Amino acid sequence: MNTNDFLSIATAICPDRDFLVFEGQRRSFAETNERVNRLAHALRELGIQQGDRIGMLQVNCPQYVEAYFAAAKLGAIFVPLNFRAKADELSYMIGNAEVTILFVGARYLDMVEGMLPRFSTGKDCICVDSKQDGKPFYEDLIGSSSPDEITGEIDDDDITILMYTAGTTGRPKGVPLKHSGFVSYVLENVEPASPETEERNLLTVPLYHVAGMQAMLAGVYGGRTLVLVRQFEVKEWMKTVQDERASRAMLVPTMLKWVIDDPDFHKYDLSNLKVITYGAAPMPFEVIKKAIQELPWVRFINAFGQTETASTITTLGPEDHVLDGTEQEIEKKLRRLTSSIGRPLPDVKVKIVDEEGNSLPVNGVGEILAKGPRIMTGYWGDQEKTAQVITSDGWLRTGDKGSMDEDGYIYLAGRGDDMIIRGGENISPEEVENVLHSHPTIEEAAVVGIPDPEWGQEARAIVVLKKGEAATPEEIMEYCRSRLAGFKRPRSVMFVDSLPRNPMGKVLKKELREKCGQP
Amino acid sequence: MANEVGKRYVCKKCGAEFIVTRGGKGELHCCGQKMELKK
Repeated sequence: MNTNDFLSIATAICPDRDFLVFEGQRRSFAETNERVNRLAHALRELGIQQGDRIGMLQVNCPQYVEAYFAAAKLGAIFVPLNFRAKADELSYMIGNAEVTILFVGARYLDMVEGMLPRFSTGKDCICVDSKQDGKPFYEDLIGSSSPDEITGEIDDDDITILMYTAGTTGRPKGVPLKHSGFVSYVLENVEPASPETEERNLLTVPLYHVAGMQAMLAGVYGGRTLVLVRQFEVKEWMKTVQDERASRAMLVPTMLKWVIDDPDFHKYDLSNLKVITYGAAPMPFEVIKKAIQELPWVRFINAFGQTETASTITTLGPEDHVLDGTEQEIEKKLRRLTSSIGRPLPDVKVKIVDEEGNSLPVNGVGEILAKGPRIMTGYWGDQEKTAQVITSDGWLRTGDKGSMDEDGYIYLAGRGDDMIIRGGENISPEEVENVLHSHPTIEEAAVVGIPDPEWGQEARAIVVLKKGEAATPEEIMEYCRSRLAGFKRPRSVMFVDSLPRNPMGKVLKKELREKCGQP
Repeated sequence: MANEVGKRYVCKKCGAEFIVTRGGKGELHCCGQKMELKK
């Protein structure tokens, strides 16, 4: 089975159901499947063969999904590109992937032509959303091509997506993702399409991110209506949930915080929402606690994974977000909500190891490793980096530190390269950040290590205060003193207007260390 | 075609359900008997 089957099965089971909804436009599974076939024929006419790379540089839109499946039908490899990447990063990714044909949104065309003159002429740059002189136009290709079903010789272990992940150092790394990885995920975790069940999934996570692509593919397999928005904006999100009666959504922690903190939050009818999945960055405890209170009918799922694992490998499920049971059970759940990423999914193995690679006992803190059919076999064209992350017996080194409790729940202790080491003792920035987030005047905070001549490193808190609030460094350090072991508390506090974040809301610790990490 | 993509079959004996991912001419059997098309 491969990802083409997701669309063909859903189309066979619920052909007339709305599949892609975007800015008032609706297309059914059957209509989309026909458009995908037409586009696949057009790409074949343009010379696309199995294994060729097809790039997409555009915000979320129906064409994004169609282009993916058209590539998949031909056995070509889809390369979703971060539309927020800088020009030289994009140029690198497009060159590294050796993209043959590039789909581009009109707003990115000038930049693409400027950095890659080969896309200025010829047929290898297709405009997605408007006619441009001298360029093939997406809708023209669809209109002039055959609607006949098209199939290629696809092996389930063929690469279907080449996704670039930003590292903390150096160039983005290409992660080849196979059909079999996504098939493994949906067969274990997603109910297939059914005429009796209708779900409406609001997709705001960008499709260039593995979480967006996984949500899209799971949605297709599940026969779900996908409501696409170009980019996340709080009020538009709430209005769309209300108007489209969305039953599922995925949000990064920052987005969820903006939603529940919005002054108009209670004006929108979000009662159709059944499931909110969150992930891609650590969730502050105060945020999820408030979200559970404000949205008591919603089932929350914390999903943890990486591009290298074809997205989710562990989940903290809905039952772990319901604070009921005995006192002991509630205490366990609170601890899990604070820092657990849940338990491994059925098709994934996870272990915690020390620096020598030996498995650690329960509650031992070490590196999190993962293994299974969804784990990448190596970075695109980079054996050196691959050898750094894939062990000789096929385990992926996630780069995240953590521990596992007696029930198999995994607790994050920070990125290996973010860990602070003070006098030989490890300080998890997440643990300190959770305490800071509970301070009444603090909007958001991050903790980095700064050099110290005596201890090697000390923890520094970098804090954004809530509007209208005031606090001194001494007050904040005193607050931490009573809540953290002595060696963990920050020894200095710096106030900033905002924290640098990537488009998924993850704090850019490297940038913070550069700006705020000097003694 | 007897077994088309997307068709769902159920075993009346054990309750197992199958979705066809690739069409074919054969018949689906489970628990020693022909499976029924789920409507």
